[in-house]
Amino acid sequence: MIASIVLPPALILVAGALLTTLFQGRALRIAALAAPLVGLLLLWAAPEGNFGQVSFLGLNLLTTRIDALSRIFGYVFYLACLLGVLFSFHHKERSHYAVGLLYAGAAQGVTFAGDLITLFVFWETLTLAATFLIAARRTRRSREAAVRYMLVHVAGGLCLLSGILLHRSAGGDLALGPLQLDAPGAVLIFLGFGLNCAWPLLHAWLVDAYPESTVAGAVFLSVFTTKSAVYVLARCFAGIEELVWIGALMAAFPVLYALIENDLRRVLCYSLISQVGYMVVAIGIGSDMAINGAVCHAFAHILYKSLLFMVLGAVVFRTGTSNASQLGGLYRSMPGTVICCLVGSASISAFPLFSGFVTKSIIMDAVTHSHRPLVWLVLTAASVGTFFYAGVKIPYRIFFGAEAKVQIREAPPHMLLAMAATAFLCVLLGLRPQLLFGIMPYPAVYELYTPAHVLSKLQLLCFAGLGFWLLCRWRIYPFEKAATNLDVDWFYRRGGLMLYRGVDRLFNGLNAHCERFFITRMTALSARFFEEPGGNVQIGCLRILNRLMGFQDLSPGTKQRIRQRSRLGTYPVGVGVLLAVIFLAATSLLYFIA
Amino acid sequence: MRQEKRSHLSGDRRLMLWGYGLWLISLLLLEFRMHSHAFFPWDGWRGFSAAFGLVTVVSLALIARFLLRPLVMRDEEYYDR
Repeated sequence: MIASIVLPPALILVAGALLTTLFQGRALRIAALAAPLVGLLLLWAAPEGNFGQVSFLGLNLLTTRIDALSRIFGYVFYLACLLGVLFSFHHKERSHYAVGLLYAGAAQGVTFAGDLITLFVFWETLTLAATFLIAARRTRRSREAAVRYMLVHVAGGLCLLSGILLHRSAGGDLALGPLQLDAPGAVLIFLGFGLNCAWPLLHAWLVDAYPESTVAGAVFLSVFTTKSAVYVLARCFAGIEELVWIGALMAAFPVLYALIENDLRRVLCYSLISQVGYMVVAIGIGSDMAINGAVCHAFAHILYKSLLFMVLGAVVFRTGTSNASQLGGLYRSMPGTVICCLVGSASISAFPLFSGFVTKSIIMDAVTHSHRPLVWLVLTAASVGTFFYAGVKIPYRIFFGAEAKVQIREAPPHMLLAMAATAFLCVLLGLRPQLLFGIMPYPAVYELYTPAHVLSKLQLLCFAGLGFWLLCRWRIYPFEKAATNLDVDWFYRRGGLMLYRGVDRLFNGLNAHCERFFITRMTALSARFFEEPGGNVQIGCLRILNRLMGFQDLSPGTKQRIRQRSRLGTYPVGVGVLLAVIFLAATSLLYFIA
Repeated sequence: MRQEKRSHLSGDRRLMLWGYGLWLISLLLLEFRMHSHAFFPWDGWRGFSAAFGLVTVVSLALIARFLLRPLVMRDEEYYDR
């Protein structure tokens, strides 16, 4: 009875996506809002357990597995979808809502998948929907970025599929559960997940593609692909030591890129990678506290990152640019957006009373309890960097810093409403962390607001603020310039182009040579040869003979005579006798040898 | 008139800076009243977090500006050529 009312969350959103194609205007927006809202309520009411078992090609697939881990991701994905749809209300086209809901539905499909095959189907749907969201801006750059995104993710998807097939052929279970990195199949699955998680060296697709999407598309994109990868890592690879170092590197290196980047949406993308790094470290540690930290941080991160993407989206919507060098002084024009931005910045910087403080503190405590001082130092340095680029740089360069270069209006009401709701959730989670503790995978209560901890965090951030002031005073900062910063995508953007040109020169050059040789020269040579074949054979043989014996080459007169004889068929008797003797000698020799 | 406005703003700014300075000093002084568990060697060092925050932010900015930027920065149309 219960199983009959538990609908797969993916199905609800996909049905919503289909429904939006039937409406327009206000009905379209209401239908798009209703799908995640209904899904959220149904998930809240749904019991834990396995639902939606399907038999396909002899395989037993499980479409809906609800447990504490999938439920918390399910909640936040619905919330993010709801807020993303609200932020999108300026879009009139149905395709935006349909693709957005399909994308969110695919992420829910991954989250609630009970087996690797179901997971793979939704994994690829994520790629497909994201590609359309990126291309939806309909500029040349967005189309190119979408194609690159798709190619990279198809490669990652094939890696995952190969891993699943190898895992299965080695007798592995298709159920989605803990895996060990002791077989090629598991390693390929690990790498497939890692690509969507934007691990170092596999991260460039994110920074390349997300800033090219529409302002509302970026809000959706910032949520689902990376966090569904975090979910599957937590599900399958918790406690894998390699993840600790991958995560630490992931948290640290994007900070430097984010500092020099001029496009603030790209800054947010580097920031996204860095924040996901914290989650990956925690998954690598694998203790109950660490997994709780990773999951809670994913929850909080989805909200504050959506908020920051919404703020940047509102700024781009009004000014047409997200370049730091072209912005500044907008605090008078967009007061509501400034407040939301400051809440997002405080949350990502982990200021006490904001969501990031709660969730990052759980991860840092887990790192402390696992006795990893170096990882602790790296993550703390990364959090200082986060405060620099997201806590100070983004609000400073958009809203303060310089005099306003343009006169603009405040963000539209629907955007303000979406931002305010998200900002409210960021503050709520900071003030009432018990709300998160109640839905964590492993029940626990953490005492995070201890005076020593709060003071240590305040010292770290406020003295980092002093550092920022000194850097401005010494005229070291700001140093962003309108430029392209090379990253790993150079290898397939420039490197790929160079490979294409190299292959083009090699094979087309070979083709041209062959054409010159076979079509032009060989045709001419064969025409000349077959004009007088007998004479030419004789001349050729005699020339070789002369060269071997050291005689002089044939004179033009001799060649002329040979050709003339051949043409007229007037050979001296001696030549015929010589040929007969050579023929007889050759046959006698062959006879004796045989 | 414009001069007056500027001096008024800079006065506000000076006040804010003094306030911020006092806030930082009070954060340092408050630490003398705190006791926390020592997990790592530096947990007992007074003012560690403050120094770490200050040094890290300056170091990151210097590395980003003088090391990473010359290494990776190209003109805006780099990939469009």
